[in-house]
Amino acid sequence: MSPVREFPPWGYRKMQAGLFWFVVILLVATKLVLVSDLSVTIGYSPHDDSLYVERAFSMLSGQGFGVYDSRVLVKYPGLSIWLAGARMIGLPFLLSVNLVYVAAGVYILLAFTQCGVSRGIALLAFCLLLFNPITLSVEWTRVIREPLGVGIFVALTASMLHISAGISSGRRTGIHWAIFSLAFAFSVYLREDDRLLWGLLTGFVAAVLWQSKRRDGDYSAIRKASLIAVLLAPIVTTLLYDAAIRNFLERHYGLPILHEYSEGEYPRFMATVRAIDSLKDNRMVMVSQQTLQQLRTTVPSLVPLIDQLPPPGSATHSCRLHGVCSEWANGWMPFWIRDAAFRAGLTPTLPEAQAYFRNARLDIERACQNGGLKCTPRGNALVPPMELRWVRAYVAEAWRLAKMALLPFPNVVVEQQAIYDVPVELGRKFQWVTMTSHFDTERQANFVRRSVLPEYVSPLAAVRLLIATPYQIAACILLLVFMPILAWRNWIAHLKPLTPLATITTVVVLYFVARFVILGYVAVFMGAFDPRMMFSTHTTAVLLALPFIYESFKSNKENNA
Amino acid sequence: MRKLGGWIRIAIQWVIIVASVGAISHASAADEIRIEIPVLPALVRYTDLLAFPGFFGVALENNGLSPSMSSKLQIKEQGRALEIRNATLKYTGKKGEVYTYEAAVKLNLGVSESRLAFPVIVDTARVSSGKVLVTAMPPLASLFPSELKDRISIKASLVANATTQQKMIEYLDGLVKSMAGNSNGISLLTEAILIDAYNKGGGGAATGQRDVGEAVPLSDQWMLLLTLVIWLVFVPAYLIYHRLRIRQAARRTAA
Repeated sequence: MSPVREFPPWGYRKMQAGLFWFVVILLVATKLVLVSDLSVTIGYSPHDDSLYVERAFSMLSGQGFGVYDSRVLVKYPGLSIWLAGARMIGLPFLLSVNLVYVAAGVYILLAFTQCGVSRGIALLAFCLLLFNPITLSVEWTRVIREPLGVGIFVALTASMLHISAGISSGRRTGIHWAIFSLAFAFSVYLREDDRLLWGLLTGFVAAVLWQSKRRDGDYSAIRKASLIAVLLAPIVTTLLYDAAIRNFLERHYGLPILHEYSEGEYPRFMATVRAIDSLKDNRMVMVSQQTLQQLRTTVPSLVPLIDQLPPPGSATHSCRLHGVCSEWANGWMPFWIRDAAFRAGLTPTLPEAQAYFRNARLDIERACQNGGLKCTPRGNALVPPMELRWVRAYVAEAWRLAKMALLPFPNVVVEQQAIYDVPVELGRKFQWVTMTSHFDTERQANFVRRSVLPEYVSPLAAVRLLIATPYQIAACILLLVFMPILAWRNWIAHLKPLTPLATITTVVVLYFVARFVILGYVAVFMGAFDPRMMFSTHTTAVLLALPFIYESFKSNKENNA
Repeated sequence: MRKLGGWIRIAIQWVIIVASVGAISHASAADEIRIEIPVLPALVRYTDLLAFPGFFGVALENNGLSPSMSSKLQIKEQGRALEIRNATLKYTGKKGEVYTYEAAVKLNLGVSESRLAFPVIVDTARVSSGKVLVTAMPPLASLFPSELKDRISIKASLVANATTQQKMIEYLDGLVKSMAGNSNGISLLTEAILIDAYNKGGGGAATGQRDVGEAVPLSDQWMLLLTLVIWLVFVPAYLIYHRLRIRQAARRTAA
């Protein structure tokens, strides 16, 4: 005979809730003290940090993303839009990133409790999220896309959990669909690989339909207009956002192209160049020096461009970072070609750039047809199709990514930089856009000058370093335990149907696997990625692990009983 | 020191600017471009190297700070001159703490080539207080938009940042240390720079090393392929088969 469970009196439950929120506030306050001395890391990186800031600066000045050059459209616009938006409402950039992260944390904390996870476990997961060393690292303070992306992905996951739990219990989920739609639309145009989020959306919609079917016994729910409307909401929001950005770009640059490396003529041009046969057979070299020599003699329109290209060598980043010394690796050459074309005055505007690369492509194709060049088609996109002979490289890159996902080893900030490697003018742009207070114009202009005031350092700054290593090891172990339990939980799904938490965790992990597989493939040709590519994967997986393990054991216990 | 790196950059930038503006005249104009660059005081130890812009360029390259990522550096006149693409920088003399150079740009006009030359002065008098003044006197400088002048200034500051300067100081200090007591000879220092350049020189092609990412024959990978097929095809297929059998058995039992 099972014992009758007595509910605690109302006052006791209220006290428990009060204590829960007190702990949440205490944790958030501790986190804020821990990062109180951190400020934006100012850096010159024309394809990253300074690009985003310059574009936001131009946006706020009413000049689009700035004067067109070879770099203005090499990255998705999301972060520049965020920077400009935050500046418009007077919110410092780093604070905005931390606010999104903490708010997403509280949102998912509520989602866990909605999904039946005990408050203690939910709080532990919240702790893991708040004190993640990634958020205490130099990368987190840079003006790059990943820190913002991590917070938004956590919010996406949280909204999926709320929706799933809502469907399961028959509650209204409209507000969560709205949050999901906004977060999804923004995320899709944050990083170029975030277009994979369409896969997450597909998986999520499938899970929602499956849940509806399980609840109602058939797919009748899909015929309800409200369900169709909410399912379409993220798609419609994203399409509207896409149209707005393209319209903005068309007004300023003449063509609705968001990203020149994946749209328009440039990727086709690169694919055509890659098709030219060369003695150099290296997965990381799509344009060899021999190919350039061949093009020099057969396609006159490319001569001014080729003459501007830098020679490869042992002192290049290509050699030092990717080990490709006698050529330029793919991580650089596509950028050099665009830069060279612009410097040579061949691509002064976006329409002219498109026309130039189109004509050059047609010239190459003609040369291939009339025998001037020997060509073998190798796909139409910037990244070539996979070949079986690159399997070993694929396994190596996948292993490297897996290590990054398990142990990202962020560069934890011990002391804030006093002088940045940027000219004063650029630093001031950073200061104006990000509203960082940590930029001493006088010191920056004269390295001998000492700061008038002592640097403020949080009294808990040393704790950041203490947290990092134990956290990383514990998180790695947690993830290693989480993965087999996830497989086992899905294996017994026919005995104990998946709960909303288990369903969404499975969907998210499947998305991570798909992303991992695709990024591994891209890395085969573009070279190893930076560990920050795995920040969102690592953070979200660690966050979901503990509640999922708890829920799985609870389900198993109930099933056995 | 780093000021010289910035200087070289300015010369290169200049080429582009002059060409883009179309200022091909040899006529002189009164205006000048002045750039004040912040420097680390420790650089005062190596200001003599400013008389050898070519060797200084090599020292930068030895540290991965090539004056030009897009062109090969050429040293001329025993290190007194440096050539990058169509720009040349030549040391012409020193008066007190002021170094003078001649910067020149070859302009291809289609039917003929023209040479545009102008003086550049580097004043190192205030290195110990953290400043170096670079003055370039190109023709028609007054016609240049202020935005272009700002860009030159920004470019100069970028290549002459604190990290670059610190790296160069540490590098040169290391070379001086390795010279075992002969630290006062600039010729020994330049020799050490050249030896270091030789030791670091040669790309993958020159050294015969294989680049990362070279194709590997498929026949060398069959063990790996077999392992992958077993784990990614056979094992999942077996698990699915096993699962289906359990489900069928359960249905039969229920029936």
